[in-house]
Amino acid sequence: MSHAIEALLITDKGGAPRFYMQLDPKALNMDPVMASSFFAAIDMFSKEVFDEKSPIVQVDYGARLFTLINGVNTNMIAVSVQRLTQESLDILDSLLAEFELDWLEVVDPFDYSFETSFVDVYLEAFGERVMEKLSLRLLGETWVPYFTTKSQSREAIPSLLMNYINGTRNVNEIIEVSGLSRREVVLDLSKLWAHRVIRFRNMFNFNDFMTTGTQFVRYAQATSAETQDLRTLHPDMADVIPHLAGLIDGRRTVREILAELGARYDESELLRSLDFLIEVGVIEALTPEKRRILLAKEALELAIRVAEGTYNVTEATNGLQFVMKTSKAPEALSQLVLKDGKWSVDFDFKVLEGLNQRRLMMLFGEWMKILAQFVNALNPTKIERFIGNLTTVFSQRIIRRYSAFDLRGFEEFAYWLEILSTPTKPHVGPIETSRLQIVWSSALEELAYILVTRGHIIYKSESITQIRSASGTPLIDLLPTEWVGRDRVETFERIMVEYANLGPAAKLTLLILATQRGILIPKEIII
Amino acid sequence: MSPSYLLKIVTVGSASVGKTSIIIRYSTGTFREHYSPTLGVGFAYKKMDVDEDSVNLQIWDLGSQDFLERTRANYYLGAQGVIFMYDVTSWESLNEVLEWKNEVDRNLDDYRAILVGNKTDLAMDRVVSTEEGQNIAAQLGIDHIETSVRLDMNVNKAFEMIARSIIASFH
Repeated sequence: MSHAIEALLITDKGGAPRFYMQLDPKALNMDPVMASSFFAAIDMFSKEVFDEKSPIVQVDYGARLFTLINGVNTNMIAVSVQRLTQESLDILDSLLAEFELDWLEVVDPFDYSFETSFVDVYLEAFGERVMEKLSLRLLGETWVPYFTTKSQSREAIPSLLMNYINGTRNVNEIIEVSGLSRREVVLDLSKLWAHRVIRFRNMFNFNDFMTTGTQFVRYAQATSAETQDLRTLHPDMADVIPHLAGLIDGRRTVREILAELGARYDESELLRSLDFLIEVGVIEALTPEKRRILLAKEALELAIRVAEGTYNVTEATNGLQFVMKTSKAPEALSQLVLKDGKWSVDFDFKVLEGLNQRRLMMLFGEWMKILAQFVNALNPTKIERFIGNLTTVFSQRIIRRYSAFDLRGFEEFAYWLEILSTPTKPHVGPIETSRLQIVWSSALEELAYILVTRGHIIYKSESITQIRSASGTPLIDLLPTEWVGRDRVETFERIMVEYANLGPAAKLTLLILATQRGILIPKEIII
Repeated sequence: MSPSYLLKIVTVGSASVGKTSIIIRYSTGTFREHYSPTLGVGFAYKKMDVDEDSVNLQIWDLGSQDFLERTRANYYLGAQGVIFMYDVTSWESLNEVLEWKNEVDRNLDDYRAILVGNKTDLAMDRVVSTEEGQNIAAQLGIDHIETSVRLDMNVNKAFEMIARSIIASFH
């Protein structure tokens, strides 16, 4: 099953570790040493936490979320970046019960001391049980498994894949060559992972945005210990990494980095270097929340440039400076920089290091607020033209470049543009809902619902009545299932076309909502 | 035949207390994991029964950012009910309820209201006790309820409370 768990830790009631396992090979800084320090923090905290009556407690420790499950003799701590689903919690609960019943006595707490890493307190067989129930988190098809131990130490582990893992085949190729199902391959890889005989490389997606951490600079210093070691171990990488440095800027994808350096270096060499940098923890692929922040920042950068073109540099600068006076978030303000007489956005992500999920969400909100206020501060006489230009640019540079997942929440900015570009007073009376469904059976119905209700508020009921009449839709009067003799898709397409005709901001709203839902938009709306 | 009511409710409160999330949870039954500030206004509706009466609750989700105050002012018109929201993990959001009350009073003459303390699932981060929330509600002369939109606790009850309160004012 898919889940958000990066690592599992089981401790006894005294706080001594009994089991540790990493379930996400891609998770940064989740090596046993790091987990050990997490454990120390939990241990200090545990007495208060575990005394709670609640069997499950969630604790936000900065960049990670700890879910503490209170067992009879032990406690389980699941590490994740987001809250766990009830399904995941139920599985963890059953695993903890199983551990206490069948495995607890197997581990002798006197076998280790605090001098030894608690990863040594490892129970491969229980790890296998964990993998049977949870499997590796997010096993990518392009990931390449490789053995970390000599063949004789692997003999005791029954595996279907021993002959297919060669350090160059990726998961997809292993599925093809072995003739096994994806599920069989995932389960077997999970088992080998549980026994700690494999690791992965090539763990990123070509659409991942890559960014450097503060320690990356060590690989850009000729005299640092890191660079010296690299020259000894991987001299080729030592040559490539300085060229990658300027491209891993927080706004380029792996694909774009490869395209930039593709003429000078072999792709596999570049990928190996990126793998290495990920493995040593000095670069990372942006997490979903950071991708949303990147999107909002890119949108602001584009809005500033479009404003400079539609108005002039002075007016755009005045608008931004006005907004900067009202913002109180240092993480955002410090990333608005003056270069060559023009304000622009700094895309370095180091300022977000160590921030928890909640703060990251708030910062996405802050960037959205800055963006909305910036547009609000521009001279309204040219706003229609500005929004028209912005919609064209966003269509090319935002909607096409980012995934549906990244666009979550960005529709609010498009609604705001709709409000700004509509001179009439808004509709504030009752909305005609009649038999309009709010729980939808398809993405198209949901889209239509949002357009009709939001549109009603922004453009008043007359505009929506006009859309309904032009598209001949019975949307509000009859349920879509009752549209006898009508082509549903064609009817919805007509609603989309008519809505887009309300103006460029309406078109932007439609493009965002449709992309979020994977809905194909009619040709005449595509920019 | 029992009467049907069409009621207009607005939700107000500090940023990120869960105004949009509670509306989505109530009207669609789903939980929105991501946060995004509402810019302008959102809308949802749900039909419900309150005893013998059928009610069409139309809920207007007002963006809380400072710069939206003028935009917000338009949307209060005709509202019969107000849900003031705060986040039990933020003292600031509870203190700001009083400012929200002032803004609502500037825009509405006669309305019913409740105070909702959200995010009770974040037990470790909680800083506002139930009693402190109740005290503010008493000070405002309105009912109080705590919710967890994430865990779907008391969400329906909160909307039922405000609907009942408005209907009672008609009699």
